[in-house]
Formats: sequence, C-alpha cells, structure tokens
Amino acid sequence: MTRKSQSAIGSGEVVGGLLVFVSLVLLVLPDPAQVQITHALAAVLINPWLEVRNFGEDVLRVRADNERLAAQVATLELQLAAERRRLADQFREIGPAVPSQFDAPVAPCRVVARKRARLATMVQIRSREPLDWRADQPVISPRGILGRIHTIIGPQAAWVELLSAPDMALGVEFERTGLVGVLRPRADRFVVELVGRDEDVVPGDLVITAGIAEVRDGPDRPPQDPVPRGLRVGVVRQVSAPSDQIFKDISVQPLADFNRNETVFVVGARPLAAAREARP
Amino acid sequence: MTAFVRTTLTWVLLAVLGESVVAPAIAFGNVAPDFTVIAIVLLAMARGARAGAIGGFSLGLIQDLAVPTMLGLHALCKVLLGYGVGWTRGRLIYGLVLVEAALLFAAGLGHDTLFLLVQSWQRNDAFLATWFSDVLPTALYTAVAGVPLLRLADLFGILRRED
Repeated sequence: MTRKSQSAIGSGEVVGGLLVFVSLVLLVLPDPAQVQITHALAAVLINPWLEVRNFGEDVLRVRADNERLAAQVATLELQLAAERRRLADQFREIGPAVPSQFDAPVAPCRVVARKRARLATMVQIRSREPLDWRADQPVISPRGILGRIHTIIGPQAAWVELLSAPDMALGVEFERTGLVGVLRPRADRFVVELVGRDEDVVPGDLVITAGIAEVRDGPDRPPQDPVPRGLRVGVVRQVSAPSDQIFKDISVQPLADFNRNETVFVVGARPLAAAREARP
Repeated sequence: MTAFVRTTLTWVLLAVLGESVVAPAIAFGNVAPDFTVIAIVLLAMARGARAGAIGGFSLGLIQDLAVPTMLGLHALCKVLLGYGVGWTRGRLIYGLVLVEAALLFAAGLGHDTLFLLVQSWQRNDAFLATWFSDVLPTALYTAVAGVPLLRLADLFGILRRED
C-alpha cells in the first residue's frame, strides 16, 4: 500500500510539473505565435459550440431586432427628409452646405468568441467577406463603441480589445459642452480624466469620441489612426470635485454591453476587393 | 455509472453551466462566484492531485482561448490550483463547512492573485485596485456559493478522501 500511494503521488507530481511546464512555454511564446495557436485551438475546441449557441440566440432575437430596426429606419428616413428640406431652405439663404462629418465605411462582423473568464478583455470577430482592416480601428456595437482591433488574424478574423482592457485610453468629448478628456477603465468603473474641477459636467451628459489622438503606453504600439469623432461612448453617471484635486472625478456608464454582443461594426474597414480596386 | 464518469460529468457541467448561466444571473455588479474554481476544487477533492492538475489545465486552456496574448496563464493558474487542492486531499477534515469554505476561499484567492500578478506585470497595470475590488470579493462569493455545491457532491458520494 505504501509503494502504491508513493507511486500515485509521484505520477501526480510528474503530470503536474509537465503541465506547469507546458503552460509556461505557452505563456512565454511571442504574441503572434500565441495568437496563431489560440486561433487553431479555438477552431477545434470552442468555435463549433459557439457557432451553435450564437445561431440559437440569433434566431430568438431576430424578430425583435427586425421590428426595432424597421422602426429606426422609418424614423431615420423621416428625419433625413426633414433635414434635406431644412438644408434646401437654408442653401437658398447662405450658400453651400457643410461637408458630411462622417464618411468612413462600416463593416459588419460577428462575435465568434467572447470573454470566457473574468479579467479577460478581448473578443474575436469574424467578417462574412474579406476586409482590408488595420489594428486600432474602432469597433462599435449598435449602442456605442466597444473597443478596437487589437490583432488581425486574417482577412476575415481579428481580435478586438474591449474598452475595459486595463491599458485602454480613449480621447472623449462631452457632447453638450465640447469639453475633452481621456476615458480609462479603473477597476470596476470607467472614468474620464483630465477635466478641470471647475468645468461644466453633470450626470446624464453624453460622452462621445473626440477624434483626437489617443494615449497609449508602450513603445511597441504607437498611436495609429485616431478614432473618428462622434462615436457614442457612454453617459456620465457620477461627478464630483474632490477639494484636494485639480481635476473632476467623473464616472461614466458605457453604452455598449461588453458581455453580450452578436453583431458589431468595424469603422473604417472596407471589403478587400473594393480596397484593391481603389488603390492606384 | 462509474465514479469517474460521474465525477467528470459533475465538474464539467458545473464549470460550463456555472460560468455561462448561473454566474451572470447571481452576480453583484462585477462580482460573481468563479464556478471554474469551484469545479477544479471539486475535481481535485474527488480524484486527487493528478486529476486536478489535468482538469485544471484543460479548463484553463479553454479559458485562455478568450485571451490570445495571455495563452497559458489560466492553464498555469488552474494546474497549480488543481494540484494544490488535490495535495490537500485526505489531509483535511471532511464534512466541516468552515474547512470547505476556507479551502474554496484560499483556492479562489490564490488563483486570482497569481493570475492578476502575472497579468499586471505583463500589461504594466495597477494590481491592488483590482485585487481589492474584484479578486477579494470574488473569492468570498466563490466560497459562499461553493460550500453548498461541495456538500451536495459529498452527499452523492462524489468527494472521496482516497482512491
């Protein structure tokens, strides 16, 4: 019995040590290798299950979504017609129209791998058609900005870093006043930093992207294209001005839901075929 | 049904259903029980250090697929968790709620602290704020939610001091 129990303990130690070694090897691999291994393993281990589950959830939601979208389209068409009339009336008085504020292409993608663990901050998205996309392009949900492209796996798959990632920072603007600040995740909440204590910010203010260059730590990933101005980020939940600080303490409730997303949109990504045609 | 099949079904279902269905439903803000930790503790208490390490590695690897640049971190934490809890198997006083609660709390705290330490080091991010706001309450909640599950497993004869 002693020999048997010693043998069992020994094999446990060997297996445990081996698995720790494998884990450490995976952990110290360079990022591109990790991404490729993850992609290959996920295709076998979790994607089939996620596909089935996502399809089921989609079927359940599609009727409600259709009704909501039809209502939105009808409303937007009415608003557009009214705006055209207003502009037409205005042109007669003052001349040419203001150029469009937003003309970036928007590519729909499906979330195929979602956060499966606490403290994890990425989702994998897949496009129906090959896209010409780049790292750092913003990703939005129908409610608001979700994050940005972190790693491109291929023309149809990419990892998205969510706004809740610890090192995320985003230039934002308060729509009502035009004040700018930097949005960062802080433990279990989002805060807007660098807004002076005497500035006009009140709960309920809508926060949008400012379209200014973002702040990002680390020399390996310098800032690239800034996020366009005007993407909805969140709503101010709480504001205070501590007497010992020169900046306000502003908490923001993000509009996007980071845990439940089916269809998201990559801003600035266009179909690969169209991008190739457009190139000289 | 053999003990092996029964134990495997129990911990896998506990991990999958717990994380995807139960945890979001009973979460207080960002704090929810970590059913993967409870599942690994249950497995290690039922089958020992070797099974705990293998189960922890498998579950951790699947979780790692959600974080491509942290591949191996969940697996590492859960191998150590499974092996560590399995090592205590037979050394604990079985059937005492306080002992099981303490084991679950220590397991959750140790697992998350190691995870957060490595993640904070890799991403150069603050450690203490997240530890106090997330790790500590989650470990407490995991202990509270895990004790009834361990008691149920014991009632059904899944937990065993030795093979």
